[in-house]
Amino acid sequence: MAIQSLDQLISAITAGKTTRYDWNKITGAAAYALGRWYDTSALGGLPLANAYPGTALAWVTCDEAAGNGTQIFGMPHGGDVSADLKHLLNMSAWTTAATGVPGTLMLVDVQGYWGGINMNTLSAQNLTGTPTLRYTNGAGCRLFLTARATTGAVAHNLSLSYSNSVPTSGRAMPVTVACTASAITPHIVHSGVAANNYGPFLPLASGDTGVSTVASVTLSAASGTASTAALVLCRPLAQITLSVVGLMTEKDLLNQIPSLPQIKDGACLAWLWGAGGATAASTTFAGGTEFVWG
Amino acid sequence: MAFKRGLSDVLDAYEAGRVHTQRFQKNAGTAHALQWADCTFASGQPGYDARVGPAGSFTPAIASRNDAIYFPPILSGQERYLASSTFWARLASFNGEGSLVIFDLLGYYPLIDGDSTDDQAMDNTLPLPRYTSGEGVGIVVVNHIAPQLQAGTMTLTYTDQSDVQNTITVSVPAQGQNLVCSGQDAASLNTTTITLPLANGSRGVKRIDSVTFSTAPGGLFCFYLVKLLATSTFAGDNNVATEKSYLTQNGCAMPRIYDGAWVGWFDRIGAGTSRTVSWFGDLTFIWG
Repeated sequence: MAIQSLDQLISAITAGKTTRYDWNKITGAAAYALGRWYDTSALGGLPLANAYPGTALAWVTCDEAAGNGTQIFGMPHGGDVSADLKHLLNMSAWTTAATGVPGTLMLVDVQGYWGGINMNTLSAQNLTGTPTLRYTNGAGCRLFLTARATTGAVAHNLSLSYSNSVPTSGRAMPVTVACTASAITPHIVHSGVAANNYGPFLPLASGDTGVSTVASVTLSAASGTASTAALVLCRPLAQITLSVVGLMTEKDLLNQIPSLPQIKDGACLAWLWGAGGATAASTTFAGGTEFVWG
Repeated sequence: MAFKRGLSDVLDAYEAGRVHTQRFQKNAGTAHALQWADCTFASGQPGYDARVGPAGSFTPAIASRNDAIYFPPILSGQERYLASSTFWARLASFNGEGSLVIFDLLGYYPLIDGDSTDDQAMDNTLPLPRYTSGEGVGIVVVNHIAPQLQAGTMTLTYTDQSDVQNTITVSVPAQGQNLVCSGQDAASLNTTTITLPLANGSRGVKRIDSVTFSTAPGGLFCFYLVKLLATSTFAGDNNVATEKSYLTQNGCAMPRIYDGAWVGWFDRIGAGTSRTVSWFGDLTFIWG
């Protein structure tokens, strides 16, 4: 079953096959920097913060119902609806202060993560566990590395060995990727405006369109401070921009950006924040999401 | 099901006269900027509602006649939807673009004592009148009747949509009387959102059980239980209307309006100069 017409969409909505969730997140005690991306799933608010629990370097699957197994950190979207198909229908977002604009919020479906990646070693770190993904062989899935504690001041690059969505193993990023030294939680450490920064996602080898798993992660240098990060595998779904303080941005994914991104059963929905300017400490981001299925 | 055949049923509702446009006019209330305000605290039509009742007792909000945005009764088996909204902000001069959140007020706990650090148990003799499981229902904190003196911190115990009791600790930022002061965490004393964050696994609130202020903010507070329905925006220029069709500008997701829904809105003026603002406009409902 799938919604195939405007009539079916209206029928589904008025049959109650829809839900709305209003979320809010507050940045922590540190300011965010222009051009960098941040993982808001780790921030307090509604839903609560993702603390990335688990065994170091071991895969943790995330979903709507159980979150990471400890924190149910994904935005609720109405539960499983198979054999119907669920879609993201509308989004809105706002921020409290001028220090929250401009910027971009990107909605992702967090498939899971490898936590406890040591940011203070240059030894190769072999990741364990086989990801269970909501997208076949990770089609369209992307990676980001988010700091779990402030990293050290020594410059370091990131390399990894991953399997693409064919799946072919042993794939490497096609460019040098530099991490930001002294990256704070929850900075996506390879994003920013410095040379060799890429964000919010790590670049993939030529022709690759997704990631099914990652075998290992290696830093070119120890960062100099005991710290960890989480390597997150997610599927980007949609984005919404914030341009004017106090002005809610609204996005209709049927009429404005006809896309109706599909929300898989179990999707673990979280926002990434791309700062278009300095974002002050304790800045609020909030908004609403509406879903429909049929 | 109201509009089983889809668009043609929506159009039939208009054709058959199953439509009502209700105009509203709210006079200037509390001055605010970059804060969420409930326009109920001002005269006009619908009228001023101080959100009062027995202290700490859940007071269901069930609209009758025109004490909230009026809509006509409908026949059994029919369903009512919000089809569109129009908002004019009347300001002395441009005051920045802003945001609106339309909500169904399910009820409230009035006159919570912000001077007390004792545990204040709520009286939940009366249940939620709509969204009875609490799924999707949020808590909004508003300072009313007596002004808040300082930012506070409170520990609030509630029962969620699964009948699980949870506790959260959040700040109560000092925003001013008649304004929303829902904190987001225990540490941030200046920033507010609309609905409070909830505990792990909660998707809504069925009832509030108790509250204890660890730092007393002073004044009196009203805790709303609301279902947020829709959003809109406004231009910030005097008398410039913002019209929104929830069919064509909201992915066809017209919010359902249940019998007795107490429809109101929060506004957030988007500039740094604190201003009073009066509102006029209309909401259009269709049913079938």
